[in-house]
Amino acid sequence: MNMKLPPKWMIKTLENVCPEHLTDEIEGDFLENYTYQSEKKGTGYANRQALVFIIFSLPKLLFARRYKTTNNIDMLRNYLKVAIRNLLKNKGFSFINISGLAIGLACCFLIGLYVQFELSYESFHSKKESIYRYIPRSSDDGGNLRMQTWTPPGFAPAVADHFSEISQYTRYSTLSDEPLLTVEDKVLPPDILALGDIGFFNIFSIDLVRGDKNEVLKSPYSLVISQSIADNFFPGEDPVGKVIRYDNSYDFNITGVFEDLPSNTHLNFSYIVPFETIGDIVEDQFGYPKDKLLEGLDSWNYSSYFVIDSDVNSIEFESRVDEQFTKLRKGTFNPESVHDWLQPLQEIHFTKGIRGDEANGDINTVYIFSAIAIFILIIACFNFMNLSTARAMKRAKEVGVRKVMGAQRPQLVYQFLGETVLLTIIALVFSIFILELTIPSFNSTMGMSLSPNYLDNPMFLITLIGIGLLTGVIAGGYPAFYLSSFEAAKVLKDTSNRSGKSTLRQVLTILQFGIAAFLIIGTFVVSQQMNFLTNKSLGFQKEEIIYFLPPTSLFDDVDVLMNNLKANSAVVGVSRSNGVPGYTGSHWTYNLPDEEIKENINTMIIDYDFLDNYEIEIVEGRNISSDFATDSSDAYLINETAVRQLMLVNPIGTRIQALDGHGVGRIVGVVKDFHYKSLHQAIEPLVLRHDPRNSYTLSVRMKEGNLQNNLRAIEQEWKKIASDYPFNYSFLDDDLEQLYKSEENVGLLMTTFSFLAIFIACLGLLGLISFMTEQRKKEIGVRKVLGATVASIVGLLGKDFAILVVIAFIISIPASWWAMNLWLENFAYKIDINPFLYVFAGVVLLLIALATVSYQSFRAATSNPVDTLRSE
Amino acid sequence: MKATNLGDFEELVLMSVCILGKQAYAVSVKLDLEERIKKPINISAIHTALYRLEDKEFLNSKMDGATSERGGRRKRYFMATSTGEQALVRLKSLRNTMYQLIPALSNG
Repeated sequence: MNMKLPPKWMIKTLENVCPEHLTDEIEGDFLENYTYQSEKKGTGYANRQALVFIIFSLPKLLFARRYKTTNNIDMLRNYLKVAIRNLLKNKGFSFINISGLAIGLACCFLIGLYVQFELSYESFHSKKESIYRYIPRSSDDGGNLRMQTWTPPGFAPAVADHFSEISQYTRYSTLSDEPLLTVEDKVLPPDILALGDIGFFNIFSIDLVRGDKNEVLKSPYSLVISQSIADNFFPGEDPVGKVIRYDNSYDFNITGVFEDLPSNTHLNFSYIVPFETIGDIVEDQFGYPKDKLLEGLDSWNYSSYFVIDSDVNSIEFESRVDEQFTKLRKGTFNPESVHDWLQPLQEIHFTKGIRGDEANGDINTVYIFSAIAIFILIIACFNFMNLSTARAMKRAKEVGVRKVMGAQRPQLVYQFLGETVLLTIIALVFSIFILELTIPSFNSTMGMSLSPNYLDNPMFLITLIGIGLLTGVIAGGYPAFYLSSFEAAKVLKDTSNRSGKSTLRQVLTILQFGIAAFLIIGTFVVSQQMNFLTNKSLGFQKEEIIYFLPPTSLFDDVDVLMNNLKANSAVVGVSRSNGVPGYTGSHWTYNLPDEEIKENINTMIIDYDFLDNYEIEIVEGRNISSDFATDSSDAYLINETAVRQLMLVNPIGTRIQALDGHGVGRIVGVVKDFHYKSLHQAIEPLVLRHDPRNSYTLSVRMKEGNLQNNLRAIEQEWKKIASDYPFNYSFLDDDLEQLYKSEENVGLLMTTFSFLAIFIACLGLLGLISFMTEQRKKEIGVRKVLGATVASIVGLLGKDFAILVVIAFIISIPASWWAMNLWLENFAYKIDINPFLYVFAGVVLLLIALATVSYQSFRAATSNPVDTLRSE
Repeated sequence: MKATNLGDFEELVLMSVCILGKQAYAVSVKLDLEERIKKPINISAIHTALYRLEDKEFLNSKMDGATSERGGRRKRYFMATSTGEQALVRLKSLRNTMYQLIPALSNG
C-alpha cells in the first residue's frame, strides 16, 4: 500500500510538542488518519484537516507536556507570575512607570518621525547623488556670501552643451502669477504652474501615471497635470489629449499625468509646461523677443539643474563651469573671488540663505528636537530607576528567598530585567496609541505631513521595537543589578528598612529636574523672542493692508483698477510696488558718479503713494511726487542705513544712476529705516524709486473696521476689471507672521514638550514622595507625639526635594544660557535674556515640584500618630 | 450516580468501542462513528472522549500493534470495563422506561 505522509514540518512539530508518553499513539493515529483521508478525499483535504488538527491540539499537548517539563519553564512561569502580581499589587507605581515611559516613548517616536521626514527630503529621486543645482554666488562688500537660485535662461543649455560631464539638464521655474486655465467652461484651480525642459521627468523621479517621461514635455504647448487635478476634473476619463485653454487665448494639450508630488521635495507645482512654449506666449503677449527669453544671459530668473557624471569631482568641476559661465557673459560682471556652487540635490532642504528658495528646513530645529526627544526619554528612564531602587526593600525578601533556594545572581538579573522589558512593552503599546492620536494634530499645527501609515515602514517598526527594548534595558539595568546584589542572610534577618537615602537617586532626580528647568527656560526665551518679533515696530503700517498681484494679462488694466479702488469708500489708499515690505527681494546695481561708488543695492520699486500708504516716514528731503514731472524716472529715495553705509555726508541731491538703461538721477529724500526684510536680517541699504514697468503688486489699505464689507467692496472692483480671474489676496500682517512660522513652531513644540517633561518628572516625584512618607510614617508619628506641628512635618518632607530642585535649577542655568544664545543668533533683532526670567522659571519649577510633593506630605503630616505607632 | 456523567458523544464512543471489540483504537472508532452518524468527526474529539472515558474508568487501554501505515507507531487499544458496560445498560433501560411513558409516541 502506498504510504502518504503529511508535510514534514507538521510531523516535526507534532514530535517536538507531543509529550513522550503520548507520541506513539497520537502520531500514529495522526499518520493513519492522514493516509486514510488523503486516499479518500485527496491530499489537499487531508492537509487541511491535518493543519486543523495540529493547530487545535497544540495548546493541549503543550499542557500535557507538564509531566515532563524542565525546571526552566516552571521558573519562567514563576517570574511572569511574580511580575504580574507585582504590577497589580502596586497599581499606583505601575501606572506612574508605564505612563511615564509611554509618554516618553511617544514623544521620542513622534520626534523620530519628524526627523526622519526632514532628512528624507529629495531622497526619493533615483539620481539624487548626481543631480546638482547651480547656485551663483558672490560676496558683498561686507564679505558676506550671497547666493541665489536664479540663473539666466541661456546658461544651462550652453553649459550642458560645452561640458561632456553633464549628461542632462533642466531649467525650472514657477510662474509668479497663476494663469487662468480652463477646460471647456470649467475653470481649473489656480495652482502653481512650472516650466521645465524635456529632460525634467527623466532627471527627477516623479512618476508619470500617463505619458512617457521622455515625451511629455517634448512638443510645444503640451501640459502635464497632477494626479489630483486629473481626478478632480476628468474623473473616470483619460485626460491625455484633452485641451486646456491658457489665459483664454492659447490651447495646450495634456500629454501626461504625474503622481502628486510628495511633500518631502522642494519642487512644488500642479502643472508643468515646456520651457519654450512660455517663450512663445511671452513674445506674443508682451512682444519680448523669444530668443532672448530662452537663450539670453541678462535676466536671471530660472533655476538650473544638471545631472553630472558620478566620477566628476563637483568642487573642481564647479570652478570650470563658473569660468565658462563668465566667458559666456563676456565678463559682464567682474570675476568674483568666490566661484559659483554646484549644490547637491539633497543639500537643498537644509541650506539657508539662498535667495529664491522658499521655506527651507532648519537643521538646527532637527537637532533641537532630537535633543528634546532624548531628554524626555531620559527623564522617563530615570523615573523608572528611581522608583525601582526606592522600592527595592519590598522585593528584598523575595531576592533573599530566591537566593536561599539556589538562585544565581545572573538569574535574578534576568528576572528583573525581564520585568522591566515587560513593562516597557506595555508602555510601547500605549505609546503607539498616543502616537495615533497625536499625529493628525501634530501635522495640522506644524504644517507637516507625517505619514499616518508609519507602521507600514519596516525600518521604523524595527527602530520602534529596538528603542523600546533598549529603554527597557537601560532603565531596568541598574535596578536589576542593585536588587540582585542583596545578601540573602542580611535581608532575611534584618527587619529594618534600608532604602532611606541613596546618592544615585538624588543625582537622578537632580538630572531630571535639571532637564525640566532647561526646557522651561528655553520655552520662556522662545516665547519672549516671538513676542518681541511680533510686537516689534517694523517702521511701517502693516494692519488693514491686503495685497495682490494681478495676472500678467491684466497689467494693462492695472491703472484703471487702481483708480477705481481709490475712488471706493472702503479704501484708504492704493499703491503699487514690486513687492511688499517683508518680502522684498530684488536688487539693482547703482552708480553714484559723485562718490565714485558702484554698488549692488536692494531696491523697491514704488509709486508716489507708497510711503503715505505704509506710513513710512521721511527724515530728510521730500517724497517722490507726481507734482514733479521728472520724478517718474529721475528721483531716488534711500534709507538711513544707505546714507550711513555709503557715507554720504549730504545725501540730498547726490547723483545716482540705476544701471539698466536709466539716465542719471538724484537722491531727493531719505526715509526712516524700516524692516523691508524679515527680522532675521539686519536692515541693509535700500533704494526706492518709481518705475511703473516693474511694479505690479497692488497694496490696498482699507478703512478700519468692518473687514468683510471692505473686502467685498474691493472684490467687486476686481470683478469689474477681471471677471474671469478669482480674486486672490493676502493680508500683509498674516504673511509677515508667516516669516516666523518655523520659530513659532519651535516655540509651540518646546512648550508642549517641556510641559510633558515636567509632567513626567513630577510623576516620578509623586512616586518618590509617596514611598518616602510610607517609609517614614513611624518617624512622623513619633515626631507628632512629641509635639511637631503639621507645618514643620510638611516642611521636613518638602525640604529634601526642594534642595534637589534648587540644585537642578542652578545646574541648568549655564546650559540653557549657552543653548538659548546659540538659538538667538538666528535673529538679527533679538531680546537680551533677562536674568529675571531665570528667577521666574526657577520659582515656577519649585512651585510645581512642591505642589506635587505637598499633597502626600500633608496627608502624612495630618495622619493620626496612633494609627502608625499602634502596630509596634 | 456515576452513570449520569456519561455525555452524549461519550456514550456513542463507548458503544463504538464495545462494537469494535478488540479492534477499538482512535482511528477505527472514528471511522466507525463517521459511518454511522454520516458526519466527519475530528480525530482530536475522539481522543478527548476516549481519555475522559478512561479517566472515568469506563475504558481500559493498552499499547500494541504497530503497522507500517502508522509510520511504525503503536496503537492504543481500548476496551470497555464492566463499569462501562453497566453504565451503558443502565442508560438504555432508563431511556426505555422513559420512552414508554411518553403517551403520543408509545404506539408509533
